[in-house]
Amino acid sequence: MRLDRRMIGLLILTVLIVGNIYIIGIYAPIERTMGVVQKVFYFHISSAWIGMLAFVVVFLCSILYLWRRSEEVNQVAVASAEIGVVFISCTLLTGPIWAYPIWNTWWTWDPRLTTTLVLWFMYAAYIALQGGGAAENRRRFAAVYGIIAFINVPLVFFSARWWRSIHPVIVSSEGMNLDPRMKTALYASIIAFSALYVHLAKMRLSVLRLRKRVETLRENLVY
Amino acid sequence: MRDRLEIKNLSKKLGSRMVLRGVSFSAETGDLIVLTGENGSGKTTMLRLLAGLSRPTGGAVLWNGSPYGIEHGSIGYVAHQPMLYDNLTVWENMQFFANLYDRPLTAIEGLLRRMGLWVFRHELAEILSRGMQQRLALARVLLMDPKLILYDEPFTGLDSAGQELLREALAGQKQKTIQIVVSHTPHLMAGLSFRHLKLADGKAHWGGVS
Amino acid sequence: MNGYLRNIKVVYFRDLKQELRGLDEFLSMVVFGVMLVFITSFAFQLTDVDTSRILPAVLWVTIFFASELAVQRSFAREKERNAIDALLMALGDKSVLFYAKALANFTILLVFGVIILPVLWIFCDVSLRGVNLWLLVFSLVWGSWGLAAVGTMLTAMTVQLPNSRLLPILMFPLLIPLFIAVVRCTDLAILGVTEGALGWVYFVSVYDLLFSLLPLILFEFVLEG
Repeated sequence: MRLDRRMIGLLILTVLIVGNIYIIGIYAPIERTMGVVQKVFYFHISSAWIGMLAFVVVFLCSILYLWRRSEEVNQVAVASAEIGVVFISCTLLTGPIWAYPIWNTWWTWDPRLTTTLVLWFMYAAYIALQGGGAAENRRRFAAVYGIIAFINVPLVFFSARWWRSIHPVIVSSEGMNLDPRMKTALYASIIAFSALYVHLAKMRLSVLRLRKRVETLRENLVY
Repeated sequence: MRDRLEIKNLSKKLGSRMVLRGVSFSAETGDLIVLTGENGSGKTTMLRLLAGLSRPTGGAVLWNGSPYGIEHGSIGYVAHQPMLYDNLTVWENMQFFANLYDRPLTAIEGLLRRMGLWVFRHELAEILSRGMQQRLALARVLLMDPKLILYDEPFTGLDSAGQELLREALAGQKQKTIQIVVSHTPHLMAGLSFRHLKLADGKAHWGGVS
Repeated sequence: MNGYLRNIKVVYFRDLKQELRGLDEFLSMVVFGVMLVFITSFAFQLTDVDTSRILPAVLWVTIFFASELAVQRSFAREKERNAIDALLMALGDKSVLFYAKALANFTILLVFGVIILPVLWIFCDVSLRGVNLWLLVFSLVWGSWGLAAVGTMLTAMTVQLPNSRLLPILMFPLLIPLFIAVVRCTDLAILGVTEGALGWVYFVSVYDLLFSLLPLILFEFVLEG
């Protein structure tokens, strides 16, 4: 019975992702000036979205952990941070692929780019602080860090924006008018990515739970 | 007024191991309790919970009925580590804690003389021997006006004169405080009347009265 | 409240006393700073960059790296013989320890910055004319405080982890907004430009305030044991 439910979930996910690839590849039109390379945009935005979502989850779980001290909550935070760092990496990697042909530069100190990079650093630090997460104090510290880091995100964004606004703004991706079909493709891929996030989080969580169980069993054998 | 310390169903998990699984006992001012148990039975963990340095996984420590109701600075703790600053002198260590406890500095001299540390008062704490550091830790505890004193293996490292000083301190504080002593050598406390509490399998059992 | 402030004072002065007693550590930090300043400005000379423009960047990179050494030391002292346990038992409120330590680290960083700045000034060959001294002092003071606050909070965690080298990777991402802001402030101060400076002054103030108040709630959890 349980297996069946998992299979159905997997099936839905597969349909969503394959459908999404179809929509991006075939349904959405090729952008006139940017050409095919613009298609990376759907992956780029969706990964960034998941990165942000995961970060919010880490933040909420951190507060909840300090309050309730439940290991389950911490596991959700860990799983989320790990998935978040993968998707933020995707964002950071797909960004230049898209940006180079369009902006003619791999990197610019745009506030969004800067914030995303700092986000990546903070995720990495968070995961390092959890350190596999057997020790109670590491979970607690990570929760404190998760809260501070979240509060730091808007600070990074605004400082980067202010600093750029003093210099002339070289590039801006504002005011991009999207074809309705492109919008559909974007929403479709955000939905597909969110489903992927949920699926990955569930898988990671079950691994973490199993590991916890193995540890408990071993400890009980020793003592 | 007699204070009452009540431990209710206290449990503590370290890593994935339940070290304490529901310890319950109570004590009143005037009680001297010797806590024994095998290595790893959770004696130090127990003291740290009572000291408020560690948070219980379950259960509660009640002081006159309220959880952690004891006012700060009223718990003395002679821990396994001397809890001193190496690069401060004996006098400065005492002075620092006297300031925090809001005690007059005049009290320090008498205590240091009593502990035989007066001649070392301008020496850095790091050059003191283990026994001397232990005496200094004891002096720090006596400096304040504790209502609860916790001792973790206080006899280790002390010479016979030091042990005698410790016995005097235990006896001197007996009427005013609740004292809990973790010790493998309760015979060193002969002559003091104490109750015996044994930790085993994460629970506490009362032993005899000596 | 009186007891709270008195305890901060007591711990703060004891920290400074210990720092003075182990002055060699501070001196080696200064030597490290001067060396870093020397190497960077020298490297920029080699590449023919207008060195008068790099001062703010080099100054703050140096202070940021040195800050790691300073804050790490302050908690290592407490953990040496577990004195921190006795201290926490004596203090009613754990945030006392945060403010005392942050103030001590702030003092050390400020002294460090005051030593480093003139050296850097000479190396970079910056004109003294038109410098906005107030803004310069402001950025040095507020920048050091922000650094001390964030650093103190994080070292309190890392010092409790077994041989952990996590401090820099935890600290620097959190410090990036402050870094941007103080580098801008210092730059504007040197150029003597007041336009736009006020915004940065506010920004640094908000950042500092935030990271001075957050520990009031969160420091409790860091030292829970």
